[in-house]
Amino acid sequence: MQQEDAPLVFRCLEGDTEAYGDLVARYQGAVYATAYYYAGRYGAAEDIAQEAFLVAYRSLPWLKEAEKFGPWLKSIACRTAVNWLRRNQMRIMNETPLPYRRTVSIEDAREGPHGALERAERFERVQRAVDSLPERYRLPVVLRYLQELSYDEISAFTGESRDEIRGVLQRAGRQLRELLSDLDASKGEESAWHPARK
Amino acid sequence: MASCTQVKSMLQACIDDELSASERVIVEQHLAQCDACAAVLRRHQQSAAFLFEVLAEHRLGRDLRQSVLDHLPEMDPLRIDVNGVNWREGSPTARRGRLVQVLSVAAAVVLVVLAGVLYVTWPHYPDSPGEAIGVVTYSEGEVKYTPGQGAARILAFVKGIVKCGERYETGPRARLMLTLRGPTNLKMNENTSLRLFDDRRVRVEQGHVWLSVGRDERPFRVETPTSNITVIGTTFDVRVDGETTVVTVHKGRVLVENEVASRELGSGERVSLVGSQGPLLARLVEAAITTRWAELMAPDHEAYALFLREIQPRTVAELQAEQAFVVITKQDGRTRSISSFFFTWLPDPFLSGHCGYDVHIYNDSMMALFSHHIDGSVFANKDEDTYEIQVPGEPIRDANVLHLKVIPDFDAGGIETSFTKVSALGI
Repeated sequence: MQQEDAPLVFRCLEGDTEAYGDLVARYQGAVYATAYYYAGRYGAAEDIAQEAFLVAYRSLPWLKEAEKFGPWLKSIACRTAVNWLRRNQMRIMNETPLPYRRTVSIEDAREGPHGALERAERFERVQRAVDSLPERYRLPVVLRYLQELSYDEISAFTGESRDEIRGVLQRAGRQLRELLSDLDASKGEESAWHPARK
Repeated sequence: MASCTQVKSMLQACIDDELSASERVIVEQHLAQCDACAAVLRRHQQSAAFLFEVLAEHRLGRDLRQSVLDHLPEMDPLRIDVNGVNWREGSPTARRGRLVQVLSVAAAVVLVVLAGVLYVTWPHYPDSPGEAIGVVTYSEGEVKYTPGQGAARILAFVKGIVKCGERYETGPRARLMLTLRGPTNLKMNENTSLRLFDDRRVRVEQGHVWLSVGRDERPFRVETPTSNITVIGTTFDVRVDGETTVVTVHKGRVLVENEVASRELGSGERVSLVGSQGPLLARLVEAAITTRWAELMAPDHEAYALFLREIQPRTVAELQAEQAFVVITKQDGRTRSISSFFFTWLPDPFLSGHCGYDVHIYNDSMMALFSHHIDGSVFANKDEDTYEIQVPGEPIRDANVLHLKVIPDFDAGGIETSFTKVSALGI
């Protein structure tokens, strides 16, 4: 996949915007997941991803090695997301993060208030488990489980080798299972305790 | 068959469908025969499915391609430091090159700062030839001086300018006199060496030194290998012979210190310091006997004039100095008529280039009666010590007290005369 980026980059530099469209299509999941990793709770992941692609297009002439487009794009995406957070610092402080601020959909209405609440709790559990992982594991995990990217796609975007990504996801997967099963266990204790109290 | 540990390390890749064909065969064969690993795989699959399911609703819901392409022509100016990003993503070689550049600039900055700190804190006074502080006013025999540490020794001559940091050395049967700002007269006997830090600090390394220190707000310090001598304004001599220092005070008071003791000496007192021993016992001596050699040394006229011109110029305060005298004309109950005034002074045998004086005479009501000018040449004649000013016209009558104001006029020269007595001739 890495070998295929360079010709597209060169075509972009010659003014072929369609080639850039192909790069966007190839990396949009990864860039969106990166933006989500930083600012997904504030509903800004799509905007940040779009902004990151625009910035990358504009600065493409400064890209030193075309075959490393993926890691270079990842750096721009991270920087764009961090800048967005900095710009919106005041707004974020006054906002309730997702999922509670999600608009109620027809599906929510069908499930009823209890279903929506349960979904919110599940999301919160996953979010807490991912946040508990070592920092190096977090982005590959989000890329894998949010956008279902393959190991090759994750490797092309992060710049790490496929074997490294496989090892990272193996270890992260084990830790996530432990974290989520702990949560299950504690939840089970709570549910056992409440009826007894009644 | 693969072990359970080997298979467990491949379970995540198995769930993610990322196993190679051979790995897949190994895992499938193992799982077919190992219920425990198959159960683990099921739990892993449930956990992964849970993660996919929960996060699925936050997945990117639309294709960004078209919206990005639509905005390409109207892109905003860059909001991030793309060069910084490119730098991080650059090749290792380029990164190293930049690192070397940054480090070399940082090293240069550190060196400049260190040099500045060293320049400020370096003790510069002992070894760097500095500002002119005096003149060689007498020289006899072979006398050498070293302008700074490491410099060659040069013969010293009368009228040579003395600077901070210089070291002077007299050989056998040689003597030297330095007149330093103050004025301080420093006379060196034969086989003596000393270093001048500045006009108020000197280190006597060896030999015999006689000092007449001009009074100044700064104390004058003499260092020897075993002691420190502090004076304000006085005459004394210091003899250094190896570990022994002998200090004799001729006039005034001198504070003598070594590492263990200190003592203040008065006129005619002498103390001997041997090494760092205490206490310092003083005894009365005939001070002048040991410094007969110094009395015979008189400064060269031209060298002294050079000193006054170049080293000890008069300050504004001194230029405005004036002398005032009061003459009482009442004697034996009656007021005398005054016909002339007499100014008396002690002629200085060495000096030339005296200034003149304007003399203004007032009565007891401070009304100006007359003025008179004394020319500077009057004081050049060393045989004269008195000058008469005759009252023009009629003698001054009916004045109980007369005030005389004497103001120097430096047109004729720079040397002032100190009048010892002003008297009036009455009729």
